Amino acid sequence: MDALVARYASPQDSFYDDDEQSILDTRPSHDHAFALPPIAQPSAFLRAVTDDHKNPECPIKLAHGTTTLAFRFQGGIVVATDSRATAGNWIASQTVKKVIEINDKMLGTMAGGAADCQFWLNYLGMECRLHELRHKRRITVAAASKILANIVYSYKGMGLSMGTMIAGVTAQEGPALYYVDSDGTRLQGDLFCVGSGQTFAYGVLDREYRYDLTTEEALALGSRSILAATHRDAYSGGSINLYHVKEEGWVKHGFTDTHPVFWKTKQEKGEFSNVTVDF
Amino acid sequence: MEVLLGITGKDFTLIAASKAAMRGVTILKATDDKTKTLNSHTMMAYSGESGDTVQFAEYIQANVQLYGMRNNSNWQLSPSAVASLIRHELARSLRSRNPYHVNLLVGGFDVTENKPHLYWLDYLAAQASLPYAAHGYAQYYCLSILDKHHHPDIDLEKGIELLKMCRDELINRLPIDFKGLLVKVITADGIREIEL
Amino acid sequence: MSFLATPSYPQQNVPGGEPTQRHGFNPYADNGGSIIGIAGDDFLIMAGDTRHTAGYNINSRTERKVYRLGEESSLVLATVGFGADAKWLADTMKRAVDVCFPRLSMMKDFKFQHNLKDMTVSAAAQFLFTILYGNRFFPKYAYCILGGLDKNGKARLFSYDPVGSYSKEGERRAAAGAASSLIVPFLDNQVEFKNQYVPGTQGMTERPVEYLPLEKVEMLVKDAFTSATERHIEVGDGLQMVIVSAQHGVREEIIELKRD
Repeated sequence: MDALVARYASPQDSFYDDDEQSILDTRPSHDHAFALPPIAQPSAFLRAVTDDHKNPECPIKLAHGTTTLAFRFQGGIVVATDSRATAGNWIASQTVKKVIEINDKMLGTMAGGAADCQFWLNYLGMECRLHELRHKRRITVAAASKILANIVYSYKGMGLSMGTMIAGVTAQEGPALYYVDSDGTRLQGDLFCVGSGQTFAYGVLDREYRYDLTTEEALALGSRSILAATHRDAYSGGSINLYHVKEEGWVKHGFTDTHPVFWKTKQEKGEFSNVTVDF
Repeated sequence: MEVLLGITGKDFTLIAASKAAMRGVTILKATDDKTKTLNSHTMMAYSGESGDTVQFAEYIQANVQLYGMRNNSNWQLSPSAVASLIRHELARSLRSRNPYHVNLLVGGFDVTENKPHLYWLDYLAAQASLPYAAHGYAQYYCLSILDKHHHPDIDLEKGIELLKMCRDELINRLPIDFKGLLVKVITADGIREIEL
Repeated sequence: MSFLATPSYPQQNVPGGEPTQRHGFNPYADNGGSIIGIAGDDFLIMAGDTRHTAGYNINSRTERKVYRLGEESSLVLATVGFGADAKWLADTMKRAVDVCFPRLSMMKDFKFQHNLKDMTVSAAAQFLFTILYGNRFFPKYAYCILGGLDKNGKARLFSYDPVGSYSKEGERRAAAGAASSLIVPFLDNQVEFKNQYVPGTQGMTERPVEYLPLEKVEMLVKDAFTSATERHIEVGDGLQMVIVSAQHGVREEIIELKRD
């Protein structure tokens, strides 16, 4: 392949001038050189020691269980998550930041393996910055999400576990939202919920979602959908982490404990009529 | 992917069940009725192991009606009594050699105390009296909707509207067509079917 | 990315048949014990018990789990889980932080790559993340808590899962290991004041979180370990505490725990 390219490519036609070309030549290799176990099938080994779905007795328990959501609307994108990390029945943390700030314009959400999401979204942040330096313009959300999808696809079968949404607003795309998971799926869409509490969030979100929601309505709906999931899904809980992504960048709208929000919602709106105080 | 839904309101209980009868990858019937009328003001909807469901439902139906006949036909079991009877039968069955694998919603209107009732029962003979309930995958999508939109004092119109919200969500998100919902309502006047 | 661990193991080819783990490759053990880290305003305490177990056997009563990462550094690492992996992590971190430590592969040392500047806590935290994640496909079975003082003398504390995930903001308290399920709820209540309310407010006003004084934190650490020793078979023998203070430097203390 390289030989073919060399034969037909003429150096004078280079799209880049010499300076740029030299920068391109020194780009870092994407070879991460991960340590591997000394056996024929490293992936099978990894599954045996870490996958608590098929093997509940596994020694290394990774954090799972989550509700995350993001949706596009007229004013940008709302991103909301819960903040609970569980390992089996053990609540490992109630204060996890499941929204990862890739850079000041783009957000990623975290479901699945916490370290996988953190590492690869952090790495994606680096790739996005390199794109800016090489091309002198911001990367599109489509391109960024594809970089991530290609990376995780190259590790397919090795046991990576992530379900993430990449949200950003660019001049070319407007508000853009992509779902990327460790199977290699990459989908563009208006609305996604990911995690063990996704169905509960979808239930509330789908009913009142419209593209022309006002910013206040959109933020309230995102928050209420996470509340619904934390109420019905035991693996979700803690606080509601709320963000609004606009073209100028993202804005954080609090990290709010669900407990008072639940009682406020119940008392002021009469919702959750299922919950009674008398036992 | 059978859907069972139940909603109570101010003066009614709504019970809905999916119309698809599925076996493996085939929909055998698109107009299946997974409900049984037990007496004038009590009915149930059921899902679970095929064969078990209808056998158990007919057994319950026969016994509830037998009770009515033995008591001069004007003394019927109340919804709560029917639910208790069913729970008892399920608990007995569970400890037998061949337990029924049936999940149920029992809906009724108690004409003596003038109140709607809804009971959720599963094949392990757990029973709960609830303002709204669901079985199967419907739980995952509809309970959060009902948590948000249900109030104990809603009228029938609002109840039907809630059912429509749930149905639309399920059509939207469930990967298999459940062929719509068969809906029945129990009020002080008795049981009747509603076109959703 | 050169500091990520490189594979040095020969690939074994199973002759014939499907390549499965026939002889059950299990390079891990659980050596018990627990660790704690609590951060005050300008100090932190990292502590661990000194028991080392294998199943119901006690291998050692004097094995430390808390490591200072450099003679001159405020960085402290505590690790539990599989003893060998824990020690490997501690050694790797020590080598990265402190040049004076075993002069091995010096070209890779952080100090030599960064004009002999000391590693900050946040840099060490990110470094530990890359070390752990570099072993993503052959995890080091160890839970880490890393602590130290930042440039302004403020205490920072980070805790990790075996493949590296951690919170960049840091935390006030962390516990890991065999008795973490006994200790974490205690620290939630006593350090974060979880479920504590201001008296006379009918449970409406949460007790505000405040930095605890050193003496109080020391007491909490001792209480946590004496209690865990009472109720967990893998915890006991000795309590190693490393106290890092912006004012008084670093001090280590070892206290007796029950040895049964």
